[in-house]
This record gives sequence, structure tokens and C-alpha cells, in this order.
Amino acid sequence: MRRFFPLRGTHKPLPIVDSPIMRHALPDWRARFVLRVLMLLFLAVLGMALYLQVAQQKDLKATGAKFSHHSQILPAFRGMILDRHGNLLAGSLMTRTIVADPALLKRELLLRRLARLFSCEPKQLSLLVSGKKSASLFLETPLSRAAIREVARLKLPGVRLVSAEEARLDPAAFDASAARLLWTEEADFNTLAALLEIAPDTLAAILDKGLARDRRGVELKRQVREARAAEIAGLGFSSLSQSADFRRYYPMGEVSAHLVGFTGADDNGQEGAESVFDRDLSSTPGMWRMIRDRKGQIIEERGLTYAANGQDVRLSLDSRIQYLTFSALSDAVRAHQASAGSAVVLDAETGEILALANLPSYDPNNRKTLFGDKLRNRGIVYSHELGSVMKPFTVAAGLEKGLARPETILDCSPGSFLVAGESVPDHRNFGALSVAEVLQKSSNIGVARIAMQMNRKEMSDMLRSFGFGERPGLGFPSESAGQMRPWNRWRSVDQSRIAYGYGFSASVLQLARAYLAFTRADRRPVPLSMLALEETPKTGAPVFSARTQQEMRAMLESVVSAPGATGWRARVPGYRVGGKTGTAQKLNGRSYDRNRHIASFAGIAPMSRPRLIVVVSIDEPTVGGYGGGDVAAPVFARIATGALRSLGVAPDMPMRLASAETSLAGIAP
Amino acid sequence: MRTGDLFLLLLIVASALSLVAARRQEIRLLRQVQVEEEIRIQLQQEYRELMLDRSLLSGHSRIERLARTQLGMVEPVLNLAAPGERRP
Repeated sequence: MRRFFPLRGTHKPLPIVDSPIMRHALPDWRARFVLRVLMLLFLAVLGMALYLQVAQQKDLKATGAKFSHHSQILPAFRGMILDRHGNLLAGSLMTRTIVADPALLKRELLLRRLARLFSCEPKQLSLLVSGKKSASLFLETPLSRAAIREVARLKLPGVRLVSAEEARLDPAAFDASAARLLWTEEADFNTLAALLEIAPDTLAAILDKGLARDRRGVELKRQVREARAAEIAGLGFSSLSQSADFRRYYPMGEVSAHLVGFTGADDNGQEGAESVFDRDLSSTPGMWRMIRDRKGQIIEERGLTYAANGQDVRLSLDSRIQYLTFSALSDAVRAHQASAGSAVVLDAETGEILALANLPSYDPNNRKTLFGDKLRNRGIVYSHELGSVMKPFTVAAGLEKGLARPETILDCSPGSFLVAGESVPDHRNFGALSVAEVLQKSSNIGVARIAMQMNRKEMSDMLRSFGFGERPGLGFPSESAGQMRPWNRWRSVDQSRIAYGYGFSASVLQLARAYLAFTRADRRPVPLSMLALEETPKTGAPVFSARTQQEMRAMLESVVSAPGATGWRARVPGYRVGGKTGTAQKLNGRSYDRNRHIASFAGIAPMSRPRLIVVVSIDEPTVGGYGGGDVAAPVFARIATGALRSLGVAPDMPMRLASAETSLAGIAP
Repeated sequence: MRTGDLFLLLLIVASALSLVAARRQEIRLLRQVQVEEEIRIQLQQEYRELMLDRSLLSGHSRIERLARTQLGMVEPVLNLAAPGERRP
């Protein structure tokens, strides 16, 4: 093939143009020059292609993926907390977070307002102002005088009325017009505020703040119910966006607040069962990576992780007994103007917690109230000196060691008893009492006499075997173990004091757990359980012989049933019940305060075949008595009456209620 | 030779078409999964809403309030001191 252009300088006549003029007009350096430039350009294109394909490949791929790749989050629900019958105690619902772009919202509101004034569609206006140059809007119906005045009043830089039929819109100045707009004047804005349940002024302030900081997304409200979120979406603001979040609901509210607890803002358990079982309850959201087409529809899957819902947790709580317990306790705390109170109901067989209520309480549904002392689960966290509810344990230890029999007579005169130079006082001079009567009348001297026959180690071991000085082990981080000094640091006076419930402390839950020793034949009290159990926990070797247990139950029953006994207000119609009252003076610094008491009652029901252990403790009752028999025993009776009925326990005693004795108090005349 | 080539060609075309069909089906199924997943989440939500409603409607505080206000029920207060027993 002949060369079209010679590359090196031999002059040969060109085949096509063979004119002498042309030969001079086209020196071949020019041809070579052009060829080289073209080749350079070609190389540059090649280089660029190489550069993009090799060096910048990563970045470019990522940019491309931004448009087509998409990650969809699959929401996962936190597990539900249920009571033993499957009633909901805590459950999460999917809700929405509403986010606004303040600048865009303002612009949209302005468009809507103008559209209303000019009676046209907001869309038409928005098309006009999205152009680069100012545009005329010709109105189908001429503006009314009021509308003209309104436009003038707004003083919008981007809007100028040429005539009643023509308005000129200036896109460049339109945003400045929007900035002048007062949020609260707009009807749609007020509707939005009402739907969000935020005062219009507050909402305007939130948005203005966002506007001042030049924020594109301002969170207006979290945890909006889906129906409400749909209404908000129905307003048609493109400046509002929604994302999924969750809200935790506690249908029993303050009634079961302390045991169920609550979650924090990030859906983590903060208190109660929510915190103890957080690992089971918490969920992991799923993720679906995909490639989408232009319309946003999936065309290829790039990996799917399914959402894992949290596991449901079934507590041992019986919501009916819990409600009874809470309402009986709160009525008593109110009636006696007490400062606080706790009550625990245990299953006497399994050690499951059927109810646990504390006052003051709080509503976990209302986040604003979640602070302060009322969050404390008093029955578990606080320990205090028990007072006389402790006496049955001393007596039981005495019976078990063969130091006394229920009918043994103890001399309790003359109403005080000296131990190591300190006096053990009684309310009055009881004279000679049998051991059963010591419990019925709650004589300090009687139990002190029994305790002083034991050696310290024996007594300490016995108390520890009831679970005193040991955490009940529910898993709460702040669970109290109570305080009990080791036996080798006891003085004689400590031993006699401990016998009637002073000089060591325990929580209400520990006390309830210790009473299990009278209902179950365990070596050590079974571990308590917050979870519903499938079967009764195994029994070990008993602390007490069956005989001691029987005798103790009979004596506890007599505390309620015997004429003149302290616990008579704990009586339950149709059931044999038993228990022990306690009135502990509170420590004030180093001495006991005669005016501040903790009234308590610990009882078992029914006596023929124990099903429940109920412990009630009321802190500083001030009106209508302060003793355990007056304040706490009636609460026990109310809880036990309702609970036995709801559990369907057959009565074990004839109802000896003469008609004259039955009064239907409280019926409105 | 001619028939063998034609046969292979047909096989290639058939396999290419089946690939397209498989891709189409995959996309269709993926979209279906997407829809079902949406439904699954909605059903879970509904289940929880119903659980909550049941719990609120059968709540003991509500039942007690209704019994006291709408039905005018009262709790009998029983005097449990035995006849002739001296109250302490």
C-alpha cells in the first residue's frame, strides 16, 4: 500500500493533487504535526480510560453503587414480657420518628398558602418557581380585594402582583419569601402540630432553631403510633420524612413497675426484668442488601440477614394477684399516711414470685417521670431491722434443738429481762406464757429466754440456713443481702436482740424467702424465681423435722386465730391462715425513734396445705395505728382473700359468719 | 457436520434463553419475598397491638373500675371476730 503521507522527508508527488500551487501550500510538516496532535489526543483518551478503569475504579464503583445499591433494614421486635398466664406486661410496637427539613417545609407552606390565595394547585406554583427566570402566573379568577391586601401584607420579595390577574414569581427571591413566613399562621402547620401533639409555638421554635443552624433534618417527634404517622403522611409534605422506631408499652403501668422495670431510649433494659433478662429480650435488626432499578424495585440480591426478634420472657408474676397486692398496699399506705410500703407474694411450694409491689411507684409509660427514689424496688433493695416477724425463726430453732416445746411455760414477768446489763423490754408484764403464747402476744422476753439457751454459732448457722445475710439471687444488681455480723463478733445482748428481730437487717424479699422454711421441707430455702417454672424445684434435706414444721404452723395459725392474739386482723373468711406481726422501731442515728415504725406482717395461707407466703411491710404509718397487727395484717388479709379465690383454692374452714356479724359496709344509701 | 453444528447452536440459544428466564424468575421471586417480608412485619405489629389491647381491656384496674362504677358492685366487708370474742 502506498503511503498517503510520507513520514520522513522524501518529496514524492502526491497522487491526488498534483498541482504546483498545492505542493507549496501544504508543506508536509503540517501534516505530520496534525497527525502527531491527533495521536497525542488519542493517547490522552487511552490514558484517561486506563486511569479511570485502574486507578479510580474503587471510587467510581462506589459512586455507581450509591445509585443502584440499597440496604433495607428489617426491623426486629424486642421480646415481650408476659405474666405466668401469658398476659402482656411489656411489649414493643413499631412506631415512627417524624423528621422535617425546616427550610423545605417553610417553602412548601408558602406554596400552599399562595396556591390557596391564587386558587391554583401548589404543584403548578412549585413548577414555576423551580425555573431559573421569573415567571408570570395568570390567574383564572381575578384576585379579590382581600386577597390582594393579604399578598401586600405578607411583603414577599419573590412575589409581585402585576394586576389582579397576573402575579410575577421570582424563583431567586422565593426562598427569601419563605424565610419571612410565620409558621404559626398556616392552617396546615397547625394541623401538623395538632397531629404531633406539640403546641404550634413550640413546634415553630424547634423548626426555627433548626433553620438557624442550617439543619436539613430536625427530629420532630419519636415513637408516633402508625395510624397517626399515616395521618401525618396524608398531609402530603415532601419535607417530612419518617423512619421506623419502637415504643415499649407497659399495660399494667405503675402496678407492676418495679418488677417489670423499663427500657432506656436505645431500647436497652434499664431496670427490673427488662434489665435482668435484657440479653434474652434484645433483638437484632436484619439487613437486606440489594441492587435496585430506576423505579426502586429489586433486581438483584446482595445478601440477606434476617431480623432476629428478641425472645419472650414469661415471668412468674400473676397479674391478678399483682393487682390485688398493689391496690391493697396502696390503699393501706394512703389510709395510714405512710411514707412507703412493700409487699411480696410467693408461691409456698415453688418459691416463684407471684407478686411484688412497692410504693411509691411510677408509670413506666411516662418517660418524664422516670427518676428519683420511687424507681427503687424497696422490697429487694432496702433492708431494715425486722422486729417481731423474726420471732418464729428463733422459736423454731429452739424447738428443733429440743430447748422448748410449744406448751413449755416461760416466765416473762416482770416485763423486762436483763441480758449483760441491758434490758429486754416487753409491752407489759405478761407473766407466765407458753411458747405458743409468746408468739401470740409477741413477747420479747420469751424469745430472748429461748435464744439465750443456744450457743451463738448454732443460732447464727440456723439463721443463715433461712437465707438471712445472703442475696436472694434474682439477678438484680442492687439486690440486698441484708446485714448480719458473723457469730464470733456477737455480744450476749446481740444474741437476745437478734432473737426478736433487732441488730441485723434483711429485705422484705429475704423475709418472705425465709418463711418458705415453714412451708417447704428444704434444707435451704429454694432459690426464688422471677420466671414461671415448669416444675417444682427439687427438695433437699430439711432444716426442720416435719414435727417442728407442723408445730410452727400451728403456732403461727394461733397468732391469727387465738382470742386476744396480735394477728387477728389477718383473718381470712373460709381459710385457716397464720403469720406473725412485727412493729419495728426505726433507727435514728444511733438510737431508736419511738415515733417512727415499720409495721409488717408475714403470713402463710391456707394452713392446711400452704399455697402462698405473703409479706407486707409498711414504712412509717402515722394515722390509725402504727403496729403490724393494725396496719399490715389487714393488707395481708385482703391479698390472701383475693389471691386464694383467684387461684381457686378450696376453703379449709367453715365460714363462721353469723348474719349479724356480716355487715355490707360501703354500700351507697 | 451441518446437523451437529445446528444442534449445538440450538443448545446454546436454549441455554441462553433459559438463563434469561431464570434471572427473570429470580427477580420475580425476590420481589415476592420483599412483599412477604413486609406482610410479616405488619402481622407481627398487629399481633403485638392485639396483645396490648387484650391486656388493656382485660386489665384488672379497668375491670374493677367498671364493676364499681357501671355495675355498682361493692366488696363485702366481713367482720371476722368470732361471736363473743373480746377484741384485743
